[in-house]
Amino acid sequence: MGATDILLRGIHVAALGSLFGTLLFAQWVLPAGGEAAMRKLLQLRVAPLSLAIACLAGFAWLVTESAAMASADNVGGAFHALPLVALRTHFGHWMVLRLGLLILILPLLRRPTIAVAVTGAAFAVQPMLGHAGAVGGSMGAEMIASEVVHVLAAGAWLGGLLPLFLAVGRLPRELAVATCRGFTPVGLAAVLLLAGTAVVQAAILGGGLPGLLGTSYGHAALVKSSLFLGLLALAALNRFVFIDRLARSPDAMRVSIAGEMLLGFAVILSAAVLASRMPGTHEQPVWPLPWRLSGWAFADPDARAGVITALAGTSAGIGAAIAGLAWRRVRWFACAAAAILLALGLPRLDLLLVPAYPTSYLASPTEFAATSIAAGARLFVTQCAACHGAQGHGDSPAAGSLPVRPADLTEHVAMHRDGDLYWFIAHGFTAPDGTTVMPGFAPTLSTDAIWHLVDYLRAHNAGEAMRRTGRWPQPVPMPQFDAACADGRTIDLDDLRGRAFRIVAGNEPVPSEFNAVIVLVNRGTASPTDDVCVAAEPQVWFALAILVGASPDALPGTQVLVDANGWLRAVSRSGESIQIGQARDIIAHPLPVDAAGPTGHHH
Amino acid sequence: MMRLALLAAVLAMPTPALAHAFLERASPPVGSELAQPPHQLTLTFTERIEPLFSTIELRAANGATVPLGKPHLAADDRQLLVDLPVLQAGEYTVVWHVTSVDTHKTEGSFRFTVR
Ligand code: HEC
Ligand SMILES: [Cu+2]
Repeated sequence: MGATDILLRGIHVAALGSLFGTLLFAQWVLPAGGEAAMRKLLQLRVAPLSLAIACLAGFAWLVTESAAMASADNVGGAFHALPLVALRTHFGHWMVLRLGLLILILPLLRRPTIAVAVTGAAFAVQPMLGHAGAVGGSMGAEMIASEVVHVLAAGAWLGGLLPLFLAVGRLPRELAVATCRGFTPVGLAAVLLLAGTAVVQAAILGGGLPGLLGTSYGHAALVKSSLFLGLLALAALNRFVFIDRLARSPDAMRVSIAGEMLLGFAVILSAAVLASRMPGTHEQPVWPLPWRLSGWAFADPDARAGVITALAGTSAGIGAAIAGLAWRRVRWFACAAAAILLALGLPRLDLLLVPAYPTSYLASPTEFAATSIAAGARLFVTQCAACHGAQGHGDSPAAGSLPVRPADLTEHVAMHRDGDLYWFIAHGFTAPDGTTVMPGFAPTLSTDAIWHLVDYLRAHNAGEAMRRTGRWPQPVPMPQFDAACADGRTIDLDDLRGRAFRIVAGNEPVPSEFNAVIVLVNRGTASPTDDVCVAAEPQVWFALAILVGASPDALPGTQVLVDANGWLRAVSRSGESIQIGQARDIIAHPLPVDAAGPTGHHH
Repeated sequence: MMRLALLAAVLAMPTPALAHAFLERASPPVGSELAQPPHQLTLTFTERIEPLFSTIELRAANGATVPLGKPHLAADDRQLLVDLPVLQAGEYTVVWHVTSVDTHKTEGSFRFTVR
């Protein structure tokens, strides 16, 4: 979407909001008595003007958007695409519906209640013209509902500003003050609804703090939020300062409302920019700070007490400072207490921060696939084992002669995010004296290869822990894989989400007392039957062996129970079976989707 | 407590949601090796698709384009289907260009092999 599209979208939406807000204002905000001329001005001048602009800009937007959808690059092409888009696409249908409703409003302007309702309906189409309408499903429905509320609230507030501006200038002073007071509840309700629905939208589309700080979508959202805060500040100024001066002179109030209108238009334009951006997963966040927040300290027995004391001290310090400001009598005592508590508590809050890198929040594109783990295992042998040792324990024959001992990769890899590990492998390590102790692999390995290594390190860590202790210390996800089923379908992990399944390595499904779909992992000889799908790719066998800490040759007969959220939960070796009680429990209680827990630690 | 709640909120970062249509999965699967040639190509996207402005192209290993019909929507309007002629053994590249219903265009490609 180009700048023209964004501008037209912004003007169209602003004019629609102005129409909606003006009609509401004329009907319900203007106080009774002596304001007939004002109401007439709003209903028969401002409203039709807004309507005309909304229609023209809306039509122009439909034309430019048609051209963009059909990749037409000249006017002829655009008008050729127009009927196609208008009649045969979702965007076209909704836009035609909206423009139709708008034309219907013209003869209705003298019937204000109906006109408001029809305008509201035309405005409420907004989510169908953007991301929300494209998502589908229950998440889409949630987004559509919150956006409807969002735009109607914005229209009621921002669209009421021009009428307010006119009323303050033209009405007798007393009536002007009454009008301003009448507008306050509208503005307040709108602000609360806007903020609430914005939080819902941000939670769904924003990608959290990394998305906000690290993507251009997030930056646009930050710009929009700061403009909104500016708008709020002006509104508060009007309500608490200028309204009292209104009786003497309306000028300050008018200037301030004009400023609000300008900021309001800027907010709408930034919303149009957001609508044109790609939010979410497909813009990878570049983390701008050298550290990030992490809750690792709460999970680490050595650090837990420290971080809780620091939080308690800091909170008490803030409390004391507030008490000092509020009560004169205890001022000196409270301030001294606050200073001591903050001096003790604040520095220890660094326990909540861990080092971070630009790639920390990159999402791996590999889905932890069996093929990726297997590829990483091969790369590890050729690229890393010379220093880190064949099993990654930092114990290669060359290790002793290196300036810095290679890290034991089974020690705390689990505490780093995928994106941190990516950074370590891509950029290597330099000793404080400047010598390279581990080369960066970005120049020699592709990004995919580095992600394969990250997946391998994770899988290998899980397998080493299983081999040594008989359990996985952290939840381990099932790798992505493809399996063929008897009805000719190919299924993958996504098809199995929502139900537990049993993986059996070998050519025969081992019978079991509990019910779960069976995926047979074999080396290409068995064929699927009614309740058994077969994953025959050799990488799946290999990856499974790594994850359970067995050699590939010792794998036959091994069973793994995967819960409904895709977590590996129980293993049994050849000749054993998973206990029925334990299996029932796992099937009934899958680990939560986000069970991986906080990561991060200091070196 | 407030701070803890705030921290928890930051830590529990919502997974960034899907917007703009990207390939969620495909049948035949991305990168797969098939014993039988497939009859149909099914691409499932992360968003609802506008079939009128979406295309699927299939290229054989030698670069030649395999002629396909116009892709159509499945009952789930995030899914594009196109029927395939009988494919010879070899590696194929699927190139897709789609427009999601919010008018945004995206594109991508992947391979599969018929043995
Ligand atoms: C020249 C020897 C050398 C090679 C080759 C090498 N590393 Fe390292 N690696 C090191 C050293 C030394 C450290 C410790 C650096 C430090 O702590 O300052 C390290 C640290 C690491 C860490 C950080 C571990 C942690 O949790 O803090 C990771 C991850 C890692 N290496 C992965 C790899 C991978 C994957 C490869 C192969 C692509 C590889 N390394 C190749 C020497 C090497
Ligand atoms: Cu580490």
